[in-house]
Amino acid sequence: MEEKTLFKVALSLSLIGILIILIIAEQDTVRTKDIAIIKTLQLETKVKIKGTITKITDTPTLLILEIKDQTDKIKSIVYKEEEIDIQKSNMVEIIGTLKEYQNELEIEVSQIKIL
Amino acid sequence: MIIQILIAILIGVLLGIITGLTPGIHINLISLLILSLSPIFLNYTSPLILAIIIVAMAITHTFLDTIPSIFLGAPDPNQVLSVLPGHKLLLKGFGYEAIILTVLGSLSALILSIAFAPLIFFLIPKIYPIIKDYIGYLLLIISALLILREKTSKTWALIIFFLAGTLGVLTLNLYNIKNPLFSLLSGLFGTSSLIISLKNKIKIPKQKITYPNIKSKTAIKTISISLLVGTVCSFLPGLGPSQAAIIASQLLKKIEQKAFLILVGSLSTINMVISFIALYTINKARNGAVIIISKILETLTLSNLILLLACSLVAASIATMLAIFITKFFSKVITKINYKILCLSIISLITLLTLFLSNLIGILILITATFIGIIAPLKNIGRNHLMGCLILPITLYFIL
Repeated sequence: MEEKTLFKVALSLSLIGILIILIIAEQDTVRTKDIAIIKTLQLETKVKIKGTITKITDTPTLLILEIKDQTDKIKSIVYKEEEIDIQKSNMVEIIGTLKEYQNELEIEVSQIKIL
Repeated sequence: MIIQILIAILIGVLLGIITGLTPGIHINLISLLILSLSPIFLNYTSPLILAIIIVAMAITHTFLDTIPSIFLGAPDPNQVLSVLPGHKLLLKGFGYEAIILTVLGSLSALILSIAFAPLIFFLIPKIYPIIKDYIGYLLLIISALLILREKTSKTWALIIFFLAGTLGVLTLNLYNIKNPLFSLLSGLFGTSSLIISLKNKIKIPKQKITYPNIKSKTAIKTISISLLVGTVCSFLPGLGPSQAAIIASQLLKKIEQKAFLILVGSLSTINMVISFIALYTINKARNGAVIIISKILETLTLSNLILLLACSLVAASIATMLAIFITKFFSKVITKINYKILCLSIISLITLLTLFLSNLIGILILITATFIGIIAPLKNIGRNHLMGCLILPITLYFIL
Protein backbone atom coordinates (compact mmCIF):
# COMPACT_ATOMS: atom_id res chain seq x y z
CA MET A 1 0.00 0.00 0.00
CA GLU A 2 1.38 3.42 -0.89
CA GLU A 3 2.28 5.69 1.99
CA LYS A 4 -0.21 8.41 1.01
CA THR A 5 -3.04 5.87 0.84
CA LEU A 6 -2.05 4.29 4.16
CA PHE A 7 -1.94 7.73 5.74
CA LYS A 8 -5.44 8.63 4.46
CA VAL A 9 -6.82 5.27 5.62
CA ALA A 10 -5.14 5.62 9.05
CA LEU A 11 -6.40 9.17 9.58
CA SER A 12 -9.98 8.38 8.45
CA LEU A 13 -10.26 5.21 10.48
CA SER A 14 -8.77 6.78 13.61
CA LEU A 15 -11.36 9.59 13.44
CA ILE A 16 -14.17 7.07 12.86
CA GLY A 17 -12.85 4.93 15.74
CA ILE A 18 -12.81 7.93 18.09
CA LEU A 19 -16.36 8.81 17.07
CA ILE A 20 -17.61 5.29 17.75
CA ILE A 21 -15.89 5.20 21.15
CA LEU A 22 -17.42 8.59 21.94
CA ILE A 23 -20.90 7.21 21.17
CA ILE A 24 -20.18 4.17 23.36
CA ALA A 25 -18.93 6.44 26.15
CA GLU A 26 -22.19 8.41 26.04
CA GLN A 27 -24.15 5.20 26.61
CA ASP A 28 -21.71 3.86 29.16
CA THR A 29 -23.11 4.43 32.64
CA VAL A 30 -22.95 2.68 35.92
CA ARG A 31 -26.28 2.09 37.63
CA THR A 32 -26.68 2.23 41.39
CA LYS A 33 -27.10 -1.22 42.88
CA ASP A 34 -27.70 -2.64 46.36
CA ILE A 35 -24.57 -3.76 48.17
CA ALA A 36 -25.98 -7.29 48.50
CA ILE A 37 -26.21 -7.49 44.69
CA ILE A 38 -22.79 -5.88 44.21
CA LYS A 39 -21.30 -8.73 46.25
CA THR A 40 -22.54 -11.27 43.70
CA LEU A 41 -20.86 -9.56 40.74
CA GLN A 42 -17.53 -10.48 39.14
CA LEU A 43 -14.34 -8.90 40.40
CA GLU A 44 -13.05 -5.88 38.47
CA THR A 45 -16.65 -4.76 37.66
CA LYS A 46 -17.33 -1.04 37.91
CA VAL A 47 -20.01 -0.50 40.55
CA LYS A 48 -22.02 2.34 42.08
CA ILE A 49 -23.55 2.27 45.54
CA LYS A 50 -25.31 4.65 47.90
CA GLY A 51 -25.04 4.26 51.63
CA THR A 52 -24.04 5.60 55.00
CA ILE A 53 -20.52 5.61 56.35
CA THR A 54 -20.54 3.57 59.54
CA LYS A 55 -16.79 3.41 60.15
CA ILE A 56 -13.68 5.28 58.93
CA THR A 57 -10.14 3.89 59.30
CA ASP A 58 -7.39 6.39 58.50
CA THR A 59 -4.02 5.03 57.27
CA PRO A 60 -1.04 7.01 55.90
CA THR A 61 -1.97 6.45 52.25
CA LEU A 62 -5.70 5.68 52.26
CA LEU A 63 -9.04 5.84 54.02
CA ILE A 64 -11.00 2.64 54.59
CA LEU A 65 -14.73 3.37 54.77
CA GLU A 66 -17.38 0.91 55.83
CA ILE A 67 -20.51 1.74 53.84
CA LYS A 68 -23.93 0.34 54.77
CA ASP A 69 -27.21 0.37 52.87
CA GLN A 70 -30.53 -1.39 53.52
CA THR A 71 -29.22 -4.70 52.23
CA ASP A 72 -25.61 -5.15 53.40
CA LYS A 73 -22.31 -3.40 54.11
CA ILE A 74 -18.96 -3.28 52.31
CA LYS A 75 -15.48 -1.78 52.74
CA SER A 76 -14.46 0.98 50.35
CA ILE A 77 -10.89 2.11 49.81
CA VAL A 78 -10.21 5.77 49.07
CA TYR A 79 -6.63 6.72 48.11
CA LYS A 80 -5.51 10.00 49.62
CA GLU A 81 -4.77 11.82 46.38
CA GLU A 82 -6.60 14.94 47.60
CA GLU A 83 -8.05 16.25 50.86
CA ILE A 84 -11.48 14.70 51.47
CA ASP A 85 -13.76 15.98 54.19
CA ILE A 86 -15.94 13.04 55.14
CA GLN A 87 -17.24 11.90 58.47
CA LYS A 88 -19.00 8.97 60.00
CA SER A 89 -22.77 9.02 59.28
CA ASN A 90 -22.29 10.90 55.98
CA MET A 91 -24.58 9.61 53.22
CA VAL A 92 -22.38 9.02 50.16
CA GLU A 93 -22.54 7.85 46.56
CA ILE A 94 -19.51 5.88 45.45
CA ILE A 95 -18.32 4.71 42.05
CA GLY A 96 -15.47 2.25 42.00
CA THR A 97 -14.15 -1.17 41.06
CA LEU A 98 -15.03 -4.36 42.89
CA LYS A 99 -11.89 -6.00 44.24
CA GLU A 100 -10.93 -8.76 46.63
CA TYR A 101 -8.31 -8.35 49.34
CA GLN A 102 -7.49 -11.01 51.91
CA ASN A 103 -10.69 -12.95 51.05
CA GLU A 104 -12.91 -9.95 51.58
CA LEU A 105 -14.75 -7.97 48.89
CA GLU A 106 -14.14 -4.23 48.78
CA ILE A 107 -14.64 -1.32 46.42
CA GLU A 108 -11.65 0.65 45.16
CA VAL A 109 -13.20 4.10 44.93
CA SER A 110 -12.68 6.26 41.86
CA GLN A 111 -15.41 8.82 42.66
CA ILE A 112 -17.09 9.76 45.91
CA LYS A 113 -19.89 12.25 46.42
CA ILE A 114 -21.40 13.33 49.72
CA LEU A 115 -25.20 13.48 49.42
CA MET B 1 14.47 -15.07 55.01
CA ILE B 2 17.58 -14.52 52.84
CA ILE B 3 16.73 -17.66 50.83
CA GLN B 4 13.15 -16.41 50.35
CA ILE B 5 14.46 -13.03 49.18
CA LEU B 6 16.88 -14.64 46.71
CA ILE B 7 14.15 -16.92 45.34
CA ALA B 8 11.85 -13.90 45.03
CA ILE B 9 14.54 -12.04 43.07
CA LEU B 10 15.02 -15.00 40.73
CA ILE B 11 11.26 -15.35 40.15
CA GLY B 12 11.08 -11.63 39.49
CA VAL B 13 13.98 -11.82 37.03
CA LEU B 14 12.28 -14.72 35.23
CA LEU B 15 9.04 -12.74 34.95
CA GLY B 16 11.05 -9.72 33.79
CA ILE B 17 12.56 -11.83 30.99
CA ILE B 18 9.04 -12.68 29.78
CA THR B 19 7.74 -9.11 29.99
CA GLY B 20 10.94 -7.56 28.64
CA LEU B 21 11.23 -9.80 25.60
CA THR B 22 7.55 -10.20 24.69
CA PRO B 23 6.07 -7.12 23.02
CA GLY B 24 2.68 -6.27 24.45
CA ILE B 25 3.22 -8.05 27.76
CA HIS B 26 3.93 -5.30 30.24
CA ILE B 27 5.03 -5.48 33.86
CA ASN B 28 1.75 -3.76 34.82
CA LEU B 29 -0.18 -6.75 33.53
CA ILE B 30 1.88 -9.29 35.49
CA SER B 31 1.86 -7.04 38.58
CA LEU B 32 -1.94 -6.91 38.34
CA LEU B 33 -2.06 -10.70 38.12
CA ILE B 34 0.17 -10.97 41.20
CA LEU B 35 -2.14 -8.58 43.07
CA SER B 36 -5.25 -10.54 42.00
CA LEU B 37 -3.67 -13.78 43.20
CA SER B 38 -2.14 -12.24 46.34
CA PRO B 39 -4.84 -13.67 48.65
CA ILE B 40 -3.57 -17.15 47.67
CA PHE B 41 0.15 -16.25 47.72
CA LEU B 42 -0.10 -14.56 51.13
CA ASN B 43 -0.99 -17.94 52.66
CA TYR B 44 2.59 -19.01 51.89
CA THR B 45 4.64 -15.82 51.98
CA SER B 46 4.70 -12.16 53.04
CA PRO B 47 3.67 -8.97 51.17
CA LEU B 48 7.34 -7.88 51.19
CA ILE B 49 8.38 -10.97 49.21
CA LEU B 50 5.66 -10.25 46.61
CA ALA B 51 6.93 -6.65 46.42
CA ILE B 52 10.49 -7.95 45.84
CA ILE B 53 9.23 -10.14 42.97
CA ILE B 54 7.61 -7.10 41.32
CA VAL B 55 10.70 -4.92 41.86
CA ALA B 56 13.05 -7.56 40.41
CA MET B 57 10.68 -8.02 37.45
CA ALA B 58 10.42 -4.27 36.86
CA ILE B 59 14.19 -3.69 36.94
CA THR B 60 14.91 -6.70 34.69
CA HIS B 61 12.24 -5.44 32.28
CA THR B 62 13.99 -2.06 31.95
CA PHE B 63 17.23 -3.85 30.97
CA LEU B 64 15.69 -6.24 28.46
CA ASP B 65 12.87 -4.28 26.81
CA THR B 66 15.21 -2.60 24.33
CA ILE B 67 15.86 -6.01 22.74
CA PRO B 68 12.41 -6.38 21.09
CA SER B 69 12.32 -2.61 20.52
CA ILE B 70 15.47 -2.65 18.46
CA PHE B 71 15.41 -6.15 16.94
CA LEU B 72 11.69 -6.34 16.23
CA GLY B 73 10.74 -2.66 15.96
CA ALA B 74 8.18 -3.32 18.66
CA PRO B 75 8.85 -0.88 21.49
CA ASP B 76 7.05 -0.58 24.76
CA PRO B 77 6.02 3.02 25.50
CA ASN B 78 9.20 3.66 27.52
CA GLN B 79 11.37 2.58 24.61
CA VAL B 80 9.67 4.43 21.82
CA LEU B 81 12.61 6.73 21.27
CA SER B 82 15.15 3.92 21.28
CA VAL B 83 13.59 2.45 18.14
CA LEU B 84 14.94 4.88 15.57
CA PRO B 85 18.63 5.15 16.50
CA GLY B 86 18.67 1.50 17.60
CA HIS B 87 17.05 0.39 14.37
CA LYS B 88 19.54 2.43 12.34
CA LEU B 89 22.40 0.56 14.03
CA LEU B 90 20.57 -2.76 13.53
CA LEU B 91 20.22 -2.12 9.79
CA LYS B 92 23.98 -1.50 9.63
CA GLY B 93 24.62 -4.80 11.46
CA PHE B 94 25.35 -3.26 14.88
CA GLY B 95 22.21 -4.27 16.79
CA TYR B 96 24.30 -5.90 19.53
CA GLU B 97 26.18 -2.66 20.10
CA ALA B 98 22.92 -0.73 20.33
CA ILE B 99 21.64 -3.00 23.10
CA ILE B 100 24.93 -2.85 25.02
CA LEU B 101 24.70 0.95 25.01
CA THR B 102 21.21 0.89 26.54
CA VAL B 103 22.30 -1.72 29.12
CA LEU B 104 25.30 0.44 30.00
CA GLY B 105 22.90 3.34 30.52
CA SER B 106 20.53 1.26 32.67
CA LEU B 107 23.24 -0.19 34.93
CA SER B 108 25.08 3.13 35.43
CA ALA B 109 21.81 4.92 36.12
CA LEU B 110 20.74 2.35 38.70
CA ILE B 111 24.02 2.60 40.60
CA LEU B 112 24.03 6.39 40.40
CA SER B 113 20.39 6.81 41.47
CA ILE B 114 20.91 4.53 44.48
CA ALA B 115 24.13 6.40 45.37
CA PHE B 116 22.26 9.72 45.21
CA ALA B 117 19.16 8.31 46.95
CA PRO B 118 19.77 10.21 50.24
CA LEU B 119 19.87 13.51 48.34
CA ILE B 120 16.77 12.55 46.34
CA PHE B 121 14.99 11.58 49.63
CA PHE B 122 15.68 15.11 50.84
CA LEU B 123 14.79 16.94 47.62
CA ILE B 124 11.53 15.28 46.50
CA PRO B 125 9.48 16.20 49.63
CA LYS B 126 10.81 19.79 49.35
CA ILE B 127 10.08 20.20 45.63
CA TYR B 128 6.78 18.32 45.35
CA PRO B 129 4.63 20.57 47.65
CA ILE B 130 5.79 23.60 45.66
CA ILE B 131 4.86 22.18 42.27
CA LYS B 132 1.88 19.95 43.07
CA ASP B 133 -0.74 22.67 42.51
CA TYR B 134 0.79 23.47 39.14
CA ILE B 135 1.27 19.94 37.80
CA GLY B 136 -1.50 20.31 35.20
CA TYR B 137 -0.02 23.57 33.87
CA LEU B 138 3.53 22.15 33.97
CA LEU B 139 2.43 19.17 31.89
CA LEU B 140 0.74 21.49 29.37
CA ILE B 141 3.83 23.68 29.09
CA ILE B 142 6.17 20.70 28.68
CA SER B 143 3.86 19.17 26.04
CA ALA B 144 3.66 22.52 24.21
CA LEU B 145 7.47 22.86 24.26
CA LEU B 146 7.88 19.32 22.92
CA ILE B 147 5.43 20.09 20.11
CA LEU B 148 7.17 23.38 19.30
CA ARG B 149 10.48 21.53 19.22
CA GLU B 150 9.19 19.23 16.47
CA LYS B 151 11.22 19.99 13.33
CA THR B 152 9.11 18.22 10.68
CA SER B 153 5.63 19.63 11.31
CA LYS B 154 4.41 21.30 14.47
CA THR B 155 0.82 21.16 13.18
CA TRP B 156 0.88 17.41 12.78
CA ALA B 157 2.61 16.99 16.14
CA LEU B 158 -0.29 18.93 17.69
CA ILE B 159 -2.90 16.90 15.79
CA ILE B 160 -1.30 13.60 16.84
CA PHE B 161 -1.08 14.80 20.45
CA PHE B 162 -4.79 15.67 20.48
CA LEU B 163 -5.90 12.54 18.63
CA ALA B 164 -4.02 10.35 21.12
CA GLY B 165 -5.16 12.59 23.98
CA THR B 166 -8.83 12.38 22.97
CA LEU B 167 -8.61 8.63 22.69
CA GLY B 168 -6.95 8.51 26.12
CA VAL B 169 -9.63 10.70 27.73
CA LEU B 170 -12.44 8.58 26.25
CA THR B 171 -10.81 5.24 27.03
CA LEU B 172 -9.88 6.02 30.63
CA ASN B 173 -13.39 7.26 31.39
CA LEU B 174 -15.22 4.22 30.09
CA TYR B 175 -16.82 2.38 32.97
CA ASN B 176 -17.38 -1.05 31.47
CA ILE B 177 -13.90 -1.92 30.31
CA LYS B 178 -11.18 -3.79 32.20
CA ASN B 179 -7.48 -3.00 31.63
CA PRO B 180 -8.05 -0.11 29.18
CA LEU B 181 -4.38 0.91 29.25
CA PHE B 182 -3.24 -2.35 27.67
CA SER B 183 -5.22 -1.91 24.44
CA LEU B 184 -4.50 1.84 24.37
CA LEU B 185 -0.71 1.63 24.73
CA SER B 186 -0.32 -1.60 22.73
CA GLY B 187 -2.14 0.00 19.79
CA LEU B 188 -0.34 3.35 19.90
CA PHE B 189 3.18 1.94 20.35
CA GLY B 190 3.11 -1.80 19.70
CA THR B 191 0.96 -2.90 16.78
CA SER B 192 1.40 0.40 14.91
CA SER B 193 5.21 -0.05 14.93
CA LEU B 194 4.86 -3.63 13.76
CA ILE B 195 2.60 -2.61 10.88
CA ILE B 196 5.10 0.04 9.80
CA SER B 197 7.88 -2.59 9.98
CA LEU B 198 5.76 -4.89 7.74
CA LYS B 199 5.05 -2.09 5.28
CA ASN B 200 8.73 -1.18 5.04
CA LYS B 201 9.60 -4.86 4.33
CA ILE B 202 12.58 -4.64 6.56
CA LYS B 203 15.38 -7.10 5.91
CA ILE B 204 17.81 -7.44 8.77
CA PRO B 205 21.46 -7.82 7.69
CA LYS B 206 23.95 -10.15 9.39
CA GLN B 207 24.78 -8.81 12.84
CA LYS B 208 28.33 -8.23 14.12
CA ILE B 209 29.27 -8.70 17.76
CA THR B 210 31.12 -5.45 18.44
CA TYR B 211 31.52 -3.33 21.55
CA PRO B 212 30.60 0.35 21.63
CA ASN B 213 33.38 2.89 21.39
CA ILE B 214 32.23 5.99 23.28
CA LYS B 215 34.17 8.64 25.17
CA SER B 216 33.79 8.24 28.95
CA LYS B 217 33.29 12.03 29.27
CA THR B 218 30.26 11.79 26.93
CA ALA B 219 28.86 8.80 28.79
CA ILE B 220 29.26 10.45 32.23
CA LYS B 221 27.68 13.72 31.04
CA THR B 222 24.76 11.81 29.47
CA ILE B 223 24.04 9.74 32.57
CA SER B 224 24.31 12.77 34.89
CA ILE B 225 21.79 14.76 32.85
CA SER B 226 19.50 11.73 32.67
CA LEU B 227 19.57 11.43 36.49
CA LEU B 228 18.55 15.07 36.89
CA VAL B 229 15.79 15.06 34.28
CA GLY B 230 14.67 11.50 35.06
CA THR B 231 14.22 12.35 38.76
CA VAL B 232 11.97 15.34 38.04
CA CYS B 233 9.94 13.52 35.39
CA SER B 234 9.56 10.42 37.54
CA PHE B 235 7.47 12.11 40.18
CA LEU B 236 5.39 14.16 37.76
CA PRO B 237 2.42 12.11 36.59
CA GLY B 238 2.10 11.39 32.87
CA LEU B 239 5.75 12.11 32.09
CA GLY B 240 7.61 8.94 31.33
CA PRO B 241 11.08 8.09 30.07
CA SER B 242 10.17 9.12 26.50
CA GLN B 243 9.40 12.74 27.45
CA ALA B 244 12.37 12.80 29.84
CA ALA B 245 14.62 11.68 26.94
CA ILE B 246 13.43 14.55 24.74
CA ILE B 247 13.94 17.10 27.54
CA ALA B 248 17.36 15.68 28.41
CA SER B 249 18.47 15.66 24.76
CA GLN B 250 17.62 19.39 24.63
CA LEU B 251 19.90 19.98 27.61
CA LEU B 252 22.68 17.98 25.96
CA LYS B 253 22.40 20.06 22.74
CA LYS B 254 24.10 17.98 20.02
CA ILE B 255 23.82 14.38 21.09
CA GLU B 256 25.28 11.55 19.06
CA GLN B 257 23.24 8.44 18.35
CA LYS B 258 25.23 6.24 20.75
CA ALA B 259 24.89 8.69 23.65
CA PHE B 260 21.15 8.91 22.94
CA LEU B 261 20.85 5.13 23.37
CA ILE B 262 22.66 5.37 26.74
CA LEU B 263 20.23 8.16 27.66
CA VAL B 264 17.12 6.16 26.78
CA GLY B 265 18.42 3.07 28.62
CA SER B 266 19.26 5.07 31.74
CA LEU B 267 15.95 6.96 31.88
CA SER B 268 13.70 3.91 31.97
CA THR B 269 15.67 2.49 34.91
CA ILE B 270 15.85 5.85 36.73
CA ASN B 271 12.08 6.18 36.31
CA MET B 272 11.57 2.89 38.12
CA VAL B 273 14.02 3.59 41.00
CA ILE B 274 12.80 7.14 41.62
CA SER B 275 9.20 5.88 41.58
CA PHE B 276 10.04 3.66 44.58
CA ILE B 277 11.58 6.66 46.37
CA ALA B 278 8.58 8.87 45.50
CA LEU B 279 6.26 6.25 46.99
CA TYR B 280 8.19 6.41 50.27
CA THR B 281 8.77 10.19 50.44
CA ILE B 282 5.51 11.66 49.08
CA ASN B 283 3.19 8.62 49.04
CA LYS B 284 2.69 8.95 45.30
CA ALA B 285 2.92 5.94 43.00
CA ARG B 286 3.85 7.07 39.49
CA ASN B 287 3.81 3.85 37.51
CA GLY B 288 1.66 0.74 37.40
CA ALA B 289 4.11 -1.63 39.10
CA VAL B 290 4.69 0.81 41.98
CA ILE B 291 0.93 1.32 42.40
CA ILE B 292 0.57 -2.44 42.81
CA ILE B 293 3.47 -2.50 45.34
CA SER B 294 1.71 0.26 47.32
CA LYS B 295 -1.45 -1.84 47.44
CA ILE B 296 0.35 -5.03 48.47
CA LEU B 297 2.55 -3.40 51.11
CA GLU B 298 0.07 -0.71 52.28
CA THR B 299 2.89 0.96 54.23
CA LEU B 300 6.42 1.27 52.82
CA THR B 301 8.97 1.71 55.61
CA LEU B 302 12.54 2.94 55.18
CA SER B 303 13.95 -0.53 55.86
CA ASN B 304 11.59 -2.01 53.23
CA LEU B 305 12.70 0.62 50.72
CA ILE B 306 16.40 -0.04 51.39
CA LEU B 307 15.77 -3.77 50.95
CA LEU B 308 13.91 -3.14 47.66
CA LEU B 309 16.76 -0.97 46.37
CA ALA B 310 19.30 -3.64 47.35
CA CYS B 311 17.22 -6.26 45.53
CA SER B 312 17.15 -3.92 42.49
CA LEU B 313 20.97 -4.01 42.42
CA VAL B 314 21.03 -7.81 42.54
CA ALA B 315 18.35 -8.06 39.84
CA ALA B 316 20.26 -5.53 37.72
CA SER B 317 23.47 -7.58 37.87
CA ILE B 318 21.62 -10.69 36.72
CA ALA B 319 19.73 -8.70 34.08
CA THR B 320 22.98 -7.25 32.66
CA MET B 321 24.43 -10.72 32.12
CA LEU B 322 21.12 -11.93 30.67
CA ALA B 323 20.92 -8.96 28.29
CA ILE B 324 24.42 -9.67 26.94
CA PHE B 325 23.69 -13.38 26.51
CA ILE B 326 20.21 -12.95 24.99
CA THR B 327 21.37 -10.20 22.63
CA LYS B 328 24.21 -12.39 21.32
CA PHE B 329 21.62 -15.14 20.71
CA PHE B 330 19.19 -12.74 19.02
CA SER B 331 21.98 -11.33 16.85
CA LYS B 332 22.75 -14.82 15.53
CA VAL B 333 19.13 -15.89 15.11
CA ILE B 334 17.41 -12.74 13.81
CA THR B 335 18.57 -13.13 10.23
CA LYS B 336 17.22 -16.70 10.13
CA ILE B 337 13.71 -15.69 11.23
CA ASN B 338 11.04 -14.73 8.74
CA TYR B 339 10.49 -11.19 9.95
CA LYS B 340 7.04 -10.91 8.39
CA ILE B 341 5.77 -14.03 10.17
CA LEU B 342 7.30 -12.84 13.43
CA CYS B 343 5.55 -9.44 13.21
CA LEU B 344 2.23 -11.04 12.31
CA SER B 345 2.55 -13.48 15.23
CA ILE B 346 3.17 -10.65 17.68
CA ILE B 347 0.23 -8.65 16.33
CA SER B 348 -1.98 -11.74 16.71
CA LEU B 349 -0.75 -12.29 20.27
CA ILE B 350 -1.50 -8.69 21.24
CA THR B 351 -4.96 -8.93 19.67
CA LEU B 352 -5.78 -12.15 21.52
CA LEU B 353 -4.56 -10.69 24.81
CA THR B 354 -6.69 -7.58 24.26
CA LEU B 355 -9.74 -9.73 23.60
CA PHE B 356 -9.07 -11.74 26.75
CA LEU B 357 -8.40 -8.72 28.95
CA SER B 358 -10.81 -6.12 27.60
CA ASN B 359 -13.34 -7.82 25.28
CA LEU B 360 -14.60 -6.26 22.04
CA ILE B 361 -14.43 -2.66 23.24
CA GLY B 362 -10.73 -3.28 23.87
CA ILE B 363 -10.33 -4.45 20.25
CA LEU B 364 -12.00 -1.25 19.03
CA ILE B 365 -9.60 0.81 21.15
CA LEU B 366 -6.64 -1.26 19.94
CA ILE B 367 -7.57 -0.73 16.27
CA THR B 368 -8.19 3.01 16.71
CA ALA B 369 -4.96 3.43 18.68
CA THR B 370 -3.04 1.48 16.02
CA PHE B 371 -4.23 3.82 13.27
CA ILE B 372 -3.34 6.89 15.32
CA GLY B 373 0.04 5.34 16.08
CA ILE B 374 0.70 4.77 12.36
CA ILE B 375 0.18 8.46 11.49
CA ALA B 376 3.23 9.62 13.49
CA PRO B 377 5.95 7.71 11.56
CA LEU B 378 4.15 8.28 8.22
CA LYS B 379 4.36 12.01 8.82
CA ASN B 380 7.91 11.71 10.25
CA ILE B 381 6.73 13.02 13.61
CA GLY B 382 8.21 11.86 16.91
CA ARG B 383 6.18 9.09 18.54
CA ASN B 384 6.62 10.77 21.92
CA HIS B 385 3.59 12.98 21.07
CA LEU B 386 1.42 9.86 21.32
CA MET B 387 1.95 10.07 25.09
CA GLY B 388 -0.77 12.68 24.86
CA CYS B 389 -2.97 9.64 25.51
CA LEU B 390 -1.96 9.90 29.18
CA ILE B 391 -0.79 13.52 29.46
CA LEU B 392 -4.11 15.03 28.30
CA PRO B 393 -6.35 13.05 30.70
CA ILE B 394 -3.95 13.75 33.59
CA THR B 395 -3.74 17.46 32.73
CA LEU B 396 -7.53 17.72 32.58
CA TYR B 397 -7.78 15.89 35.92
CA PHE B 398 -5.46 18.39 37.60
CA ILE B 399 -6.77 21.54 35.97
CA LEU B 400 -10.56 20.92 35.97
